[in-house]
Amino acid sequence: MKRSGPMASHRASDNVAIANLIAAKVRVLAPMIVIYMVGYIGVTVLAGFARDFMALKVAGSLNVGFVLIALNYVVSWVLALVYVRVANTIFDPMVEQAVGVAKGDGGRR
Amino acid sequence: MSITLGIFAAILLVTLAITYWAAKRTRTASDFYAADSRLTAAQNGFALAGDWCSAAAFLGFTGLTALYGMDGAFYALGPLVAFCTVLFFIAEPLRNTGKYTLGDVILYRMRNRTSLLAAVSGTMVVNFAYLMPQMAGAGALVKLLTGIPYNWAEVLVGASMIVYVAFGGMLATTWVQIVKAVLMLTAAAIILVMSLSLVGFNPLALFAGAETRNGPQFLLPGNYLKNPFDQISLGLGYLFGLAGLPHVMTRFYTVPDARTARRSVVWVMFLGGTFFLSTTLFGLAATSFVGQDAIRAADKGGNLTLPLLAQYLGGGPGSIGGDVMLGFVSAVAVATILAVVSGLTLSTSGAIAHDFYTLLTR
Repeated sequence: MKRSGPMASHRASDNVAIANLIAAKVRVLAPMIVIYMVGYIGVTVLAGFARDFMALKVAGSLNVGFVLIALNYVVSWVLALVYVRVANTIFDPMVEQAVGVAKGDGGRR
Repeated sequence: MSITLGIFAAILLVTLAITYWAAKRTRTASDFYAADSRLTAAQNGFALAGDWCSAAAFLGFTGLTALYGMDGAFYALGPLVAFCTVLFFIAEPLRNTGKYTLGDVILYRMRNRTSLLAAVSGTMVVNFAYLMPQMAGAGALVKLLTGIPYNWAEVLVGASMIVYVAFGGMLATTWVQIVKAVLMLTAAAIILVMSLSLVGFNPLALFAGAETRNGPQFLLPGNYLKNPFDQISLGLGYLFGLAGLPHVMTRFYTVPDARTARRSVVWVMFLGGTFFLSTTLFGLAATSFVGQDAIRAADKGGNLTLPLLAQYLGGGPGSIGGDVMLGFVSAVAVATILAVVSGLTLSTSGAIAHDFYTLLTR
């Protein structure tokens, strides 16, 4: 595989554009990760330990459990769309900027 | 039997034609392992759906829901949520740092041969564990469809897989997976519309039907995963397991950049997710219309639930419509296995040929 030297890794931390990119990613991704992980693991915990709650009827034979499962589908889809939108409009330009700065420094890429 | 045999032969011929077409276009290592990284987001999204929805999804989830209710729906939900992990953590860095295999990324980050060796071993162990049940299922299905003895069915499937991958590489694998995904989603759409038409397009009626037929316990969790920790364990397995599956991850090398990689994840999340959600409704429909006794009589693990439901919707056993639907769904199941097995074979060959070669020459 192509080895592009040390990838300017010791310089990367000095690069303000990269630091900004990482900060922006953490700010956006952290809540999204918490939402889908807590939502999904949460519903499996309820399925294991709160079976009476999952059995509560919502509409006809439909119970809370199936509603929460359906909700997890919706949450996953919405988060995916949000992520792609943010990545295209915010992260990508920041990446380009960071690459530009690295090139200006005489860095590689 | 002649209908199913015809459909099966047609699928085999189409996939071989794809391989012939792809073989003429496969010249370099990059063609072979990554289809020269020139696929579009939609192409890779469909191929990911073809790769990720194995026979376990197509046949297994429906059967689990039909026999055990809500626990089957949990099996179907996990594979969608798992793609959040792939989208947020894996897809783009993988695309940017690797070339043909998971081992590439490990080597790039760790910079030593031992970690590459670990990646190669991991790939092979995971792929063999995945390959074994797919091949066993393929043999059983081909035997059911064509009457060819199990041992010869295994040889037939195995040999055609080697031909697909050896000659067509990633391009043939990709198009076999795309064709399979289209067939699978078509079958799912037909079954969904026909099932819902029987209950006046009211999904709630499927829940009511399943409950009336099997009692109130049926729609509760814990019928299959009895120990509470089993539910959580299944969830964690899905959440972090997909990101370690070499045959799915290598699909991200087939696109030109990170932007396309992330868009292809969205494609698979909507294509696959809709399909997974449908399997839950299929299971409920099958348990009301076909009944658990008939499902268990055909296969005690419930793996023939979807073909039986299709047969019922087509007009029942013995009718022409029933035979056509049964043949179509069974043939899609075989196509499903071919698509998954070719992906597994390709990623294993990458680990052995590409990674070992790197190990030995570096």
